[in-house]
Amino acid sequence: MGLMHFLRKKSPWLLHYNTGSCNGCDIEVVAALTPLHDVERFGIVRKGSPRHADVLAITGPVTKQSEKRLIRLYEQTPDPKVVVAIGNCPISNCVFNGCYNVVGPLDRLIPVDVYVPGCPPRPQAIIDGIMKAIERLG
Amino acid sequence: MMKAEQVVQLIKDYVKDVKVTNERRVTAITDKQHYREALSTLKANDILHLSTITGVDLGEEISVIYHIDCGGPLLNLKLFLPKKAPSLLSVTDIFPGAVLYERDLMEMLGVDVENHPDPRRLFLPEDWPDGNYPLRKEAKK
Amino acid sequence: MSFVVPIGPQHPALEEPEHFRIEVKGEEIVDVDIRLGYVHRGIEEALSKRTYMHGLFLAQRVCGICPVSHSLAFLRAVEEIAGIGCPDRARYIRTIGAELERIHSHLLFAGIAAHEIGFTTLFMLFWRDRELVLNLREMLWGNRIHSSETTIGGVRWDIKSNQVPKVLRNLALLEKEVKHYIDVVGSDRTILARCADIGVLTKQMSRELCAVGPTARASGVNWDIRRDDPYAAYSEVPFKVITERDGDVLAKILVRLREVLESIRIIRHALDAMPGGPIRAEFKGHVQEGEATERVEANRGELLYYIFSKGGEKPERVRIRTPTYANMPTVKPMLVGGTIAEVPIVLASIDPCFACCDRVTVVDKCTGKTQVMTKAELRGLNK
Repeated sequence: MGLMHFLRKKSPWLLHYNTGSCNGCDIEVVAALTPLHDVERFGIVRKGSPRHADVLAITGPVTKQSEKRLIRLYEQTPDPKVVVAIGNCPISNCVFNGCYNVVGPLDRLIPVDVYVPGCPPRPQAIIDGIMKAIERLG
Repeated sequence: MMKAEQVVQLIKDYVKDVKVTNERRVTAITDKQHYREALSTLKANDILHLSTITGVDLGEEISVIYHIDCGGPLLNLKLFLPKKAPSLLSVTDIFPGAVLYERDLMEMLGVDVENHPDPRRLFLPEDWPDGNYPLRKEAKK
Repeated sequence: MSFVVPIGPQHPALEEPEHFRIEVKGEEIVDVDIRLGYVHRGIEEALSKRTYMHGLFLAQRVCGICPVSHSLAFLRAVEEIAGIGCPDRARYIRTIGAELERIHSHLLFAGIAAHEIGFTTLFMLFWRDRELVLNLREMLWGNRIHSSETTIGGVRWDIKSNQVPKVLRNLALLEKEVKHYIDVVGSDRTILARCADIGVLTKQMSRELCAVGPTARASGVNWDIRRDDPYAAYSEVPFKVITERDGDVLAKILVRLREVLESIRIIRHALDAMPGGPIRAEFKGHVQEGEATERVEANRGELLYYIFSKGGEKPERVRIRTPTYANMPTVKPMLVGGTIAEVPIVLASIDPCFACCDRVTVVDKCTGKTQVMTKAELRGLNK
């Protein structure tokens, strides 16, 4: 399994899912793709389907409507996988704590491997968090 | 560009307690019998932009405010409904742009908007309990 | 055949609460239904339980792309009821903050639109140039996204004279690039094929449905809150309201790109004409009884906040009407008569809050069957 682990570390596939965030973190995740920050130099590729994902990057405080889908996404992603909570919302609900339609934080619902705090965290911090998560793969 | 005083003149037969805060803000109180005529008169004078509709739980009453851009002044046209039976007619026949704001009013405050073309939930999840209106004071979380 | 069409750059095609349900006959769209709620958090209710200062941080986070606009509308309503004036210098700084936000947002939109029609390189270029604006925000206010420069009574930080040269330098670079993009968008055959005469909203329909912002201006509606109900320093800064006539996707893109050029001019003028003096009036936390309705021209259009106070440290009611919410009903006339391949770019053209409109269901009235299509497959329909 050493080779599989090495290959996986070389080209992890990332699924980014928004559970009701203000989009601040999401645009910084997307900014992490752009020429200046460029997550692709680490071989990280964003994929559309959970069945190909190694890393789940989750933003938002988890609204009621997004909860079921979040859990299904987690279950459909094959092992080994790692979950990165991006931004303060999945960590603590941030300013949305106490809002009636919010059911987070994230680790109430699924296991989380890495927490990247910030509102939002900078693209460099996001990439750093994802890399730390990848270290834990396999 | 309309002036605040012109707006007041247009709707004066359908409102009472008009307050012109300044050239750009007018608040007028109307009632269930007259609000549609006030809105129709505005529309007949090429005032087409309904910015939004706000509902407020005041305890015994629910106030409904139509915020209308009159090409200069912003008019806040307000009426009060009894909380025990808050109902009024849809204004989507006058302002088609009201369609989503009325759905919002229905699900958040439990105002019965009659004749609405599409009275479904807008923001709340499907399994949110019926009769629990989040913006009413007595709402349960 | 019915299709689930995911739009927005990051969402997989899974079965979930859809936001738009589109009925087709063959390839042609015959009806559109709107379902929102995915990002509904319960902010209006929460604001009535928090103090005004505490609530400000929540109001900013309704949207991470236009927090300055949300702050300004909220603050001005509070200041109106509380009778607090904002010092002149702060009004100019607020204007600069709002225009920097407009620039970053319009470039963000342009990148997403480019991505939706398959122009990944152009998406990267727009977002590369957007970094010039985010760098300025970080320099001026310490954060790229939620810069929180505005506060009740004014702004938190002054703009120092040694920061101005960098602002002007980045703006000059941006201006050159955006002028070039406008040329490209207006002349590139592929862009024209995917955007001209697509997703048309007529002026009459725009007014009837009460559309706002660049979406309305692209249909020829000459209306901008900055000019028509001015706030901050807009009544003192000259600028043009940009409109187009055709109301198609191309017009919506061009309006926003030209607005970026106007924003650059506004910032330059504001930096030059900014008066001296204090940047913050005192706010003690307590607001008297009263109500106020305030509007700003956010990046996507008219943003309205209504606040009702019974006197005290917390508002009784805060009502927020975002511009995307106002523009939702326009999606139907833009899509009906078009094809499903156009769905991603037409929806993107109103510059919706991503997570507000991340999924779409398409239903065939004839067969009622369901199929899932990815965005790549949808884009493939355009080839």
